Amino acid sequence: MEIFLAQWINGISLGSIYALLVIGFNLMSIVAGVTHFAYPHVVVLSMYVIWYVLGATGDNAPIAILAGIGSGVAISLATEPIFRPLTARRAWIASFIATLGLSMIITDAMAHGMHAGRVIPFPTSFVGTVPVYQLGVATLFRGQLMTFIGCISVMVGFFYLLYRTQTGRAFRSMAENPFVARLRGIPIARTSRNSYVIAGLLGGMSSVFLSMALRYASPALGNFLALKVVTIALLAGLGNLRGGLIAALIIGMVESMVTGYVPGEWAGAVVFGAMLIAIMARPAGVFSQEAQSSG
Amino acid sequence: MPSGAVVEHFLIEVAIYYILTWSIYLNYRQGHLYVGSFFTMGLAAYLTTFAIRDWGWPFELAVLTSVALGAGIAFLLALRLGKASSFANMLGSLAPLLVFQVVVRNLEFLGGAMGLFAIPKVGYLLPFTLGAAALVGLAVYRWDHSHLGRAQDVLSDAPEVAATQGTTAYKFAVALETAAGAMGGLVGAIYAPFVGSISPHGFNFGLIINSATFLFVGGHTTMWGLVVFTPILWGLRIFLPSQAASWTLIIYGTLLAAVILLRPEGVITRQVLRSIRVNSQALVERLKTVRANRV
Repeated sequence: MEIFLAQWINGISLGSIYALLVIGFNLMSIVAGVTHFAYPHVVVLSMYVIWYVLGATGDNAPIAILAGIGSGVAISLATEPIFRPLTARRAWIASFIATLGLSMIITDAMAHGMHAGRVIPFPTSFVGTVPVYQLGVATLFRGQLMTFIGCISVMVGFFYLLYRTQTGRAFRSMAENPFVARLRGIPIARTSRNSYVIAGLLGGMSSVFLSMALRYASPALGNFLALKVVTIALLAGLGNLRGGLIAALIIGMVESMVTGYVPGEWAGAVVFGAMLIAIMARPAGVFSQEAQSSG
Repeated sequence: MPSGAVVEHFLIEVAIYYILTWSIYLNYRQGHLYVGSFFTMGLAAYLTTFAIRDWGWPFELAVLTSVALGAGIAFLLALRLGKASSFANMLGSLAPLLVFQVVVRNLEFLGGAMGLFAIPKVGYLLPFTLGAAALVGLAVYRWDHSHLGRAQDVLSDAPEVAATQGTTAYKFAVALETAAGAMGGLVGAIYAPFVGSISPHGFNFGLIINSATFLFVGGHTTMWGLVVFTPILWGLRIFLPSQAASWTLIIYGTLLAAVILLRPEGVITRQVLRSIRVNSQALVERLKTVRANRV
C-alpha cells in the first residue's frame, strides 16, 4: 500500500507535467497548425536557463523561475516567424520535419555549449526535498506538492482562458476552421502568435516543474520528452486538449506504477507499446471524436 | 587523404543509408512518413548476429532470413498501420523500435544495454552491400516508372481522383510498408557484421533523423535527391576536420529546417531532373553536330 501511494504521488506529479507539455503542444498544433516536435526541447533549454540563473544568483529561486518562464515565452515566440509559412499551409508533416530540424539544433547547441553537454543537477534548495507528508516509504516532498498544485492551477487558468475569454474563443475558432475564422474577422496572425505565447508560458512553467520533479536536465532529455509528448498527443487524438490531459495523467501514472512494481526499466516499453496498440486499435486516437464515432 | 579502410567504411555506410532512406521515400510518396524499417533493421541485426556467430549459419542464409523476417513483421503491422493517418502511421511505425530498444536493454540473453560482441566479419561485405544497394535502387526506379508507381503519385496529389480510379491507399500502404520492412531486414543483416558489435543504442532515433535529413534536403519527390545528398551530408562527419565535424547535427538541423521552409520539395525536384535531362540532351545534340561538321 505504501509503495502504491508513493508511486501514485510520483505518477500524479509526472502526469501533470506531461499534461502541461501536451496542452502547449496541442495548442500550437490546432491554432498555429504546427506539429512542434521541438517544443519539449525549448522546455529543456529553459531548464538550462533556470540552472544558469540559479548559479549566477546564488540559488535565488524566484528570479530563476521568472527567468525560466520568460525564456520559455521568448524562445517559443522567436520560432513563430520561422514557422509562419507552414501555418498558412496547415502543413502537419512538413512542420513536424522542420521542427525536427530545430530540435536537432537545440540538442546539439546544448551538447556543445552548455556545461560541456554534461548532466546538470539542480540544487536541493530549489527542488524542494523537504518532506511534507510521510507514510512509511511513501513521502510527499515539497517540490512534488508544489509541482502538483502549480500544474493544476496553470491548467485551470488555461481552460478558463480557453472557454471564458475572447482570446480563447479565437483559439477555438481557429482550431475548428481557420478559413472560416479568417472570414469572420478573427486576426489569424495575432491569434497564432498568441498561441505561441501561451504555449511558451506553459512550456516555461513546465521547465520549472520538471526541474523540481526530475532534479536534472541533459541535452538528451529533449528527445525523450518529445517522444512522450507526441505519444500522449496521439493517444488522445492530435489537437484534443481535454483528451491530452487525461492521457497525460494516465501515462504518468502507468509509467510510475511500472517503475515501482516491475523490476528493470520497462516503463518505456509499456508506454510505447500502449501507443502502438492504441494506434492499431483506433488510428484516429483513443479520445478523439472521430475514433469514438467510428470505433 | 582518407585511407582505403575509411573509404570502404564510408561506402558501406552510404549504401546502408541509401536503402534505409529509400524505404522512407517509397512510403512518403503517398504521404506516409513510415519508419518501421528501422525496427526491422534492429531485429535483423540481432537475428544475424546469433545466426552467423552462434548457430554457424552462412551469411547469405542469414540475409535471406532477415529479409523474410523484416517483410513478415512489417506486413503484420501494416495490416493495421496501413489504415492510420500520416502522423499516426509515423508514430505507429516508430513505436516498435522504441519498444524493441527497451526490451533488448532489459534482457540479458540479448546482451542487455551492453549489446553483443565478436560478430564475425564477412570478407566480401563491400561488394555485397554495394550490389544490394544497386538492386534496391533498381527496384525503386522500376517502381517509380511503373503504372503502380504513378498511381501512388495520384494517391498523394489527388486522393479523391485515385479513389474514383479504383486505387486503394490501404493496399498500397500494406505493400510498400512490407517492402520497407524487407529493406530494413536487409540492412540489419549487413549492419551486424559491418560494425562487429551491436547494442540497442545503435538503433536509436538518430538513425531516423539522419535518413530524414538526407531525404528531405535531397528532395522527396524523386529517388535521386538522396542519392546525391547522402554521401555529401554523411561525408561531412567523416571528411571535415574533427572540430567542425562535431557540429554536423546543427548543420543537418539548419539545412532540414531551411529546406522545408524555403524549398519544400527539397533540392533535387522532378523539375530539376527534367531540366538536367533536357540540357544534357541538347549538349549531346550539339556535340554530335560539332563532330559531324568536323567530319
